[in-house]
Amino acid sequence: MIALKRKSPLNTGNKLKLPSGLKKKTKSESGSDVDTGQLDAGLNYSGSAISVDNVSKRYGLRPVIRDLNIKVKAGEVYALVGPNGSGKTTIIRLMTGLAFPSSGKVNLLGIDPIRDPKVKKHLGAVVEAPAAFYPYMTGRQNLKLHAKLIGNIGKERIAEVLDQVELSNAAERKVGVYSLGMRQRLGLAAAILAKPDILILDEPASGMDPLSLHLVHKVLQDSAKAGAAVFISTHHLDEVAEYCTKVGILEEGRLIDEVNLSQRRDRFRVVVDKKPEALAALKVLPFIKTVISEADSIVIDLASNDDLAKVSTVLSNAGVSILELSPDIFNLRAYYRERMNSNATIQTTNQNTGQNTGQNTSTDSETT
Amino acid sequence: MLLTLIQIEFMKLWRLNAVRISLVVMAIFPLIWAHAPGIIEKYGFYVISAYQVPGLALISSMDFILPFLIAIVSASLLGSESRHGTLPTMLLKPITRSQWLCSKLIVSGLFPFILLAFTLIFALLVAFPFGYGSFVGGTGVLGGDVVGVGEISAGTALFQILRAYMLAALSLVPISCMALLFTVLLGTGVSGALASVAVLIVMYSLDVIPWLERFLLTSHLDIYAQPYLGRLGLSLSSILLSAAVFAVIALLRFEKTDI
Repeated sequence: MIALKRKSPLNTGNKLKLPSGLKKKTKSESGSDVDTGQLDAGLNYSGSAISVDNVSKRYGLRPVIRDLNIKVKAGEVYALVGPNGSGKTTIIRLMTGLAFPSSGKVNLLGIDPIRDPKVKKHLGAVVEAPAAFYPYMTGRQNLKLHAKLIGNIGKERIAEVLDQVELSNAAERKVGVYSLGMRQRLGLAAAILAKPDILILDEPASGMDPLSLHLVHKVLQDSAKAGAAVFISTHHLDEVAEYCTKVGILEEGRLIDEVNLSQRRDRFRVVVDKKPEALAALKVLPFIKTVISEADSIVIDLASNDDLAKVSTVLSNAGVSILELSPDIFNLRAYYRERMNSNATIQTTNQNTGQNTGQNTSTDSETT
Repeated sequence: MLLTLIQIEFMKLWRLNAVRISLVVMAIFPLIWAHAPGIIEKYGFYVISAYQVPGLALISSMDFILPFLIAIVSASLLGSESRHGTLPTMLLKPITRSQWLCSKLIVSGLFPFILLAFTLIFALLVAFPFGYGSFVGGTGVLGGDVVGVGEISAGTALFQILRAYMLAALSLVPISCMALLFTVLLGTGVSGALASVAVLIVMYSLDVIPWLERFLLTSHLDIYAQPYLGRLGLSLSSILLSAAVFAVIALLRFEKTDI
């Protein structure tokens, strides 16, 4: 059972108040069905806080999203990258219940947000860049309005989120005079207002200066650490590569690749004086998941970073000297460019040979 | 939740330029009837009572400007959300689309009452030099025109005026629902307002077709002057039915619209 990890004004303990119709029924002593009113959230969704299953979206005859599958678990940060017009914003609208899928289904915490919008109590989202607010109201007034619609959010929490996005000084100014970056930060403040279990943001870093950019990434990381499932669309590849759990690469509405970055962070590159001996010693270690021999080095995939010290001990005992030991930094930007180019080549080839290019070419890059 | 949404919609209503313009425009009519010097030369009568000013203001605005103002304000109420981009922001909150649009329908449906209440109060205030006592003549809104059929007491005159304003506001409700429906269908406030105004103008022209007349919204805009209860009942049912039909179509359509 996956239970919600943290407490929020809306999520006390591990109980999620379910919308009517989805409440768990249990048998009473007399044998009749009893509506318990509350239920562990984990019983209602199988592992993924955000679940997109075989979703397609067409506008008229034009397919915009094709047979998409995305899962985001609590505590994960999923970044969707892709060129402009690849369908990132449409996916976010489908996820948040603003647009209707032509086929397939979207669930948030196991609940369809279109059928039951009450699940949006657990959702913080910004679906436009810059985030939209009433320009004639101040930043604080706009947040008060959001708080009123969510319910159970006090003035203190509003002040807290304004402080978190460094807008306390501008809180009494009308949003109409806010800069693009300030609006984005206010959007972020509105999204995290209810300490949501799911955070979905469309290009949260758009129009931000480097300092604000750092702030946004910090808020996203903090939210994930606190147990929220975070989903963002972005063009900032270098920044997201630092902390995202997964990156999905989207092109023309198809998820062409999904990279598990959290696993990549446990990879290290070792340069040694005796490579065959080192390979033999490393391959038998239980805490090393993969050993890859490259031209002048060995790449090891550790079960945990804590096991790094053991590697040098084992190699030393085997009479191998370590010349260099460094993290195997994954270059997302280069990988993205390469992936997009290879997909373009495949498409051109298929078009030339008259084959259908509509299939999902998604692969697990861990094996590539 | 619906009450909270209505409260929020009222707050937004006062921020709309269309509302401010409507209030200014509707203040002009009583001022003209109360203080314009050439009424006798143009219309052949004198204004002699404070109760005639709101009556005349209503008659002169109901045929043309009031329906258009109501259509434009209602379209703006939804259209401003598209303009500011706040429509998705609001629908990301734990509210249903129906609740949200219902609050818009309720507030835009109440706006004719608000606007006419303002006009009535303003008209009675600016007409104070004529006095609020009984007078020989008519209020202009119920039989007998401003010339009247003899002496009319202050109470009767006030009742006639209040009745006329209530009925006039009621006859404008389907127009506000229609404007919201067009805005839902067309996506922007400008398109919604334009379509509503165009439909109203076409309806004014269509009243030359006798069998069609009773189905036209514009045919019921003179309900405030209708003294016969039988016809009043028919008009009222027609008004309420058309408002309900427009509202239901708007709600059904909005439920299925991609935002």
